[in-house]
Amino acid sequence: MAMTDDAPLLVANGLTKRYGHRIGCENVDLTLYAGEVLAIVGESGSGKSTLLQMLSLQMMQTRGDISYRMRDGQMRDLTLLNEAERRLLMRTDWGYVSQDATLGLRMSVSAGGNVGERLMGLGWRHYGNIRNEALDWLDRVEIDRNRIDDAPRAFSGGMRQRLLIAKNLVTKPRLVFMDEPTGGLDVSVQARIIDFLRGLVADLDLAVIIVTHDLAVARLLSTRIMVMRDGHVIETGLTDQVLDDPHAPYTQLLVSSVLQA
Amino acid sequence: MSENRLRPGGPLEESATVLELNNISKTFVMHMRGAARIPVMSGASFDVRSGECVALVGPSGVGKSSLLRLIYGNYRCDSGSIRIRAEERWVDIVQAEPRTIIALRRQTIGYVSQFLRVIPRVSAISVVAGAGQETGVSVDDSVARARILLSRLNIPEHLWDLPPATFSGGEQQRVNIARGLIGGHTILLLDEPTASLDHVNRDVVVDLIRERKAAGTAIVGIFHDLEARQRVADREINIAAFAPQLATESVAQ
Repeated sequence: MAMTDDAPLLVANGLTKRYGHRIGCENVDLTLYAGEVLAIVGESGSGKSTLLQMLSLQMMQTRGDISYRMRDGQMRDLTLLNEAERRLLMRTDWGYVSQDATLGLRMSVSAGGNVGERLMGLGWRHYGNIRNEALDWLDRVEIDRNRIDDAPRAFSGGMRQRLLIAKNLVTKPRLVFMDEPTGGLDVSVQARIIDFLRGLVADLDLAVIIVTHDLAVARLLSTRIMVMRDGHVIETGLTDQVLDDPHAPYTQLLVSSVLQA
Repeated sequence: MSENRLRPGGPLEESATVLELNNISKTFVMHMRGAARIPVMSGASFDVRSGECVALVGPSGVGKSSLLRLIYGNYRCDSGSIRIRAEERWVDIVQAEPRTIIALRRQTIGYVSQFLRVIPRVSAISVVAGAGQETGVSVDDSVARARILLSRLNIPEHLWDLPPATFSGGEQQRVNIARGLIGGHTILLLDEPTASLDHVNRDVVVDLIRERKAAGTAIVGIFHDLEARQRVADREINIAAFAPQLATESVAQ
């Protein structure tokens, strides 16, 4: 049986964020393996976004450690990385897909330029190669090749989100963080994005940590789930197990509150 | 072993035990109803061998579907073990880590639920072929197998490129069966695979199940339809024997 004896990709221990006396998130332990999709769910204010910000090194924790298995196989304590190592990691081995695509895209730079930027960060210099790779990725995220020279300012919300995904995946990252990736989109556009995210995750054997308040998105995309409330982890386990046989009172409340379409 | 035979998922000795339930118990605690305890299963124990089809029987509500979900790892057991033979080793799904369960579901144990749950806007052929790819079948082979299954199950070809959400109940159930049978799982759990099917399609499903048995797949199923059950099952297990004594008492107030 594959994938049961390998080493974890990301390990966090006792992650805590305090804002003065207020708890953002407290004592979170987490282990993620290659190919796993972990959904962090909870209502607003549950601490799920705070946790994602810390894990993705965009916010400094008050306490706790995060280590990551680098491409050379070494587990490294991420707080000990220097600035250059940290930036290289975030630009190449990791991706970050936020709810608001305008934060991750350069809105006045062409679609091709947006996708090519991360390749240039990896040292790609040949214009033709970069353009071909960008075209290839536009195909994969179902954006018309003819739009390669258009800026995302002229794109719809769903197209921007797909372009942001292409931009993040072009460097073949091993870990992608997603913060409500289908948040502001119409339901029909959401469904399409979820469908191709599933395909990409499987094809590229990506590990993903996705924050969402939408249990249906968590069910469709993730294999494992972590339920948070008031900065604490309430329940964690296999996604369908936790959603179909929730044990904690809060999880039962959350699951029973979902509207059935 | 001299009698080894190649089967989906690898060689297994003739008619070896591949699934072992030992003393399974399960109680739901409903916190929204004042932490009411609803025991559904107590002391369930039985074995299933490769190539064998076991039918779970008993009155409605006795826990047949729950037992299938426990075996699949969809519900969590309170005690006992559910050992699954995965290639050359045994895994207890009650104790297994999430990623081990995911790997088991890809390669070893399949489940056909009563209802199709799919992503909106994904076509029927992609739903079925995608399930094949998840079990490790190549893209081309998955599509080829999906076409064969859908045509055997009499889903009209003009529907293949449409999402199943708009299909009739029977058509959805057949897409669901195609999806459940496309992989090379060595253990299959079938929850009412012939419900809501007409006679022609019921016969197709019966044939598909018998073919899987002949190929060595172990099957645990719920078949209300007596004729279908008699044609596929080698033996029956009455789940009422595992019903907790206090079940009815604690549900009623």
